[in-house]
Amino acid sequence: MLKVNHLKAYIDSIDGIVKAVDDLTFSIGKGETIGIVGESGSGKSILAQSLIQLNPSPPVFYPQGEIQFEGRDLLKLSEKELCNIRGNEISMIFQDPLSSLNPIFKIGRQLVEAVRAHHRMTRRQAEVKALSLLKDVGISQPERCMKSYPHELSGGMRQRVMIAIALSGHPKLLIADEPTTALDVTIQAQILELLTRLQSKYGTSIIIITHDLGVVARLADRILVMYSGKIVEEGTAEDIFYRTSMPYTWSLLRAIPSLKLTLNDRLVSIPGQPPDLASPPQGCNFYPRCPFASPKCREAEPVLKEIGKGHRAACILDEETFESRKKELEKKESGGSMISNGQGSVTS
Amino acid sequence: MLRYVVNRIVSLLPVLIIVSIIVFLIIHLTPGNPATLILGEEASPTSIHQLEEKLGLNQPIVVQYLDWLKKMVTGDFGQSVYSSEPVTHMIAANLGPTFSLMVFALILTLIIAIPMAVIAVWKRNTILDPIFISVSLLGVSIPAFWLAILLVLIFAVALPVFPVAGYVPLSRNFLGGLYHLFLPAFILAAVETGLVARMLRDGMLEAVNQNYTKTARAKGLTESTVLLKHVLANALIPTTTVIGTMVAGLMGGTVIVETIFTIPGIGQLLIDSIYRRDYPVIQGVILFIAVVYVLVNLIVDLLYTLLDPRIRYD
Ligand SMILES: Nc1ncnc2c1ncn2[C@@H]1O[C@H](COP(=O)(O)OP(=O)(O)OP(=O)(O)O)[C@@H](O)[C@H]1O
Ligand SMILES: [Mg+2]
Repeated sequence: MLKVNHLKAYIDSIDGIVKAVDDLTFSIGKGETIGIVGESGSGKSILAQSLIQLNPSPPVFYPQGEIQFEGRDLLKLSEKELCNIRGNEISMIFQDPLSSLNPIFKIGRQLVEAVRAHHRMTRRQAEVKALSLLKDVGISQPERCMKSYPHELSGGMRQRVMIAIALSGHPKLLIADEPTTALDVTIQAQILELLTRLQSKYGTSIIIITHDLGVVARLADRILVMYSGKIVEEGTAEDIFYRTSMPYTWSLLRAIPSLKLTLNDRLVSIPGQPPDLASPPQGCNFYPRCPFASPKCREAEPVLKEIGKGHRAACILDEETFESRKKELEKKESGGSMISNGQGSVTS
Repeated sequence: MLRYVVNRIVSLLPVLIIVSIIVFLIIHLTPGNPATLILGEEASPTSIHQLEEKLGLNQPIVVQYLDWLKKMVTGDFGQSVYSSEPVTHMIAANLGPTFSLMVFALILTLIIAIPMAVIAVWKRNTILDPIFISVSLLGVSIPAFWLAILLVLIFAVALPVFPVAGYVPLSRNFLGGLYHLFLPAFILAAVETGLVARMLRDGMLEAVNQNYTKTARAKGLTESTVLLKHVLANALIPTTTVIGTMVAGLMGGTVIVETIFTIPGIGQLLIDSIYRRDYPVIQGVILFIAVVYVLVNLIVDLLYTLLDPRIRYD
C-alpha cells in the first residue's frame, strides 16, 4: 500500500546539510503494523513527517526518493493534492498530546474541524460524528469533553482526542510518532490497546514510532531499526529479538532494563554519542560505538542485505562471528553483573 | 475572577496617586508665582491676591493637595480661569473628536497590521519578510508630526484628495466626518502599525512552529486556513497587550495631529490651555488622560484573561 523507495530527507541547517533520513527503502501492507525504533535523533520524526510532508520546508528538502501510495508518488503531489491525502487517507498523531492540540479552541471545535475537512456536512452532523468518534476512542463523557479546552483534560484523554481527530477521515494509514512517550505506564497500555482495537475495526495500517522496544514487540508485525538516518535492521519481532543481526540492535536490546535486574546489576547503556548527522563518520555509522568494530568497518558503508526471509541487516559480520563475539563479550562482562540481553524479559 | 479584578483595581491606586501628585505639582513646579503666571506680569497685587484666595494658593501645600484631590475624586475639576467654564464641561465637549479619531486610528491600525503580518508569515521564506521588517521598523521610527506634515503636503496640498484641516462631527455627517478624519487617523495608525504588525508577525512565526499547527496541517487543512484560523488566533492574544501601550501612543499622537489638522479634541484643548496658562484645565486634562490610560490598560488585562482560556483566576 505504501512503498518508500530510496527516500532522502535532508535538513539545511547552519551546521551544514543534516542527513536526517538517508536513503530509506521499506513498505507497509494493508492492515499491517510496522514499528520504527531508534535512539533520539535518529531521524524517526523527520521520516514520519516526510511521508505526508509535514516537515517545515525549508529547511527540510527531499533530494531523492519516492513515496508510492496507491499508485501516486506523494513527493510529486501539489500542495492541494497533499491536503486531500492528509487527515483523509494518511493521518498522524504526535508525541505530546497537550502541545498538539490548539490551546485556545475547545475540543469540539477542533474535532468538528477535522471531521469537516474532508466531508461535506453541516456543523450539526459533524458534531454528531464527533461525539461518536469520542465514544469510539473510549471517552466516557463525550459531550463534556467537546466543551473542554485541552488543558482541562488528562494526558490520556488528550491522546484519545488526538486519535479521534486522526481517525475522523477513516485513514488507510495512521502514523503514530511516539504516541505514548508522554504518558504514564498504565495510560500507555490503554492507548496501545485502543490503537490495536481500532486497527482491527477499521483495517488501518499503522506505522508506530517509539524508542520503547517493548511497545513494538507487542504491536508490530515488522520492526525497522533506525540509526543515524538509516535502516540498520529490519525484521519481525522474532528476528529482531531472537536473531539479532546488527550490533546496534543488540546494544539497544541490552539497554532495556530487565525485570530480573538486581541491585548489583549495572544498567547497560550504549557508550558514546549518536553521530553528528551533518558530518557522519566514514564507513559504518555505528562503527565508533560498536563493541565489535574492526578496522574493516571503516572502509565502506555496510549494505542492508537480506539474511533471512524478510530479515535485513546492515553489518559486515556474518552470523557465526557475530554470535561468538556476543558470547565473548557477555562472558567478559559477567563478573557478577550479568545482564539479560532483553530476550523475553522486556518490561511491559 | 472577581477577586482578581478587585486586586487589579486596588493595585492601580498607587499609580493614580502618584499621577495626581505630579499633576498637582505642575502649577507649583513652574517657576514664579502661579497667580502671576496666570494673570500676567502687569496684574495688580489685589487681583493676584484675589486669585490666590480663589485657588487656595495661600495655604500649606499639603492642605492644597488634599483639597484639590478631594475635589478631583468627586468629579469637580474646577473652572477654567480663561472662560470660567467648568473643566469637566470643556473635556466633555472635546471628547467626541478625540474619541472618534482614536477609534478610527485603532481600526485602521488593525486593518493594515493584520494582513501585513499574515502575508509576512505566509511568505516567510521569501524576500517579503525582510521587506516587511524594514517597513515596520520605519513605521515605528517615523515621528508622527513629520509624517503628518509630509502627508498633508502630498495628499492635501499637492494632490488635494483630502482636506487640509477641519472636523465634521460623525453624528452630523458620518461619511463626511470619516473623510475629514481619514488623514489624521491614518497618520496615527501609520505610527502604531509597525509595532502591532511586528508583534503579530513574531507571534505568528512562533505559532507556525508549534505542534498544534502541525496537527492542523495533518488534518488536511489548507495553509491559508491553518494561518488564518489557528496561527492568527494564537498570535492575536498576546498582541492585545500592546493595545494598551498603543492607546498611550495614540494619545500622545492626537495632541500633535489635532493641532496640525485643527480638530477640536482633547489634545487641542490641552495645547490651547497651555498657551493660555489655564492651569485648572491643564491639570484636569492631564489627569483625565492618565485615568483613561490606566483604565484602558486594566480593560486590556482583563480582556487578555478572557481571551486565553488557559488563564483563569478563581
Ligand atoms: N530544524 C532542524 N535543523 C537542524 N537539524 C535538525 C532540525 N530538526 C531536526 N534536526 C536533526 O535531525 C535529526 C533527526 O531528528 P528527529 O526529530 O527525526 O529525531 P527522532 O528520531 O524523532 O528523535 P526523538 O526520539 O528525540 O523524537 C536529529 O539529529 C536532529 O538534530
Ligand atoms: Mg521524534
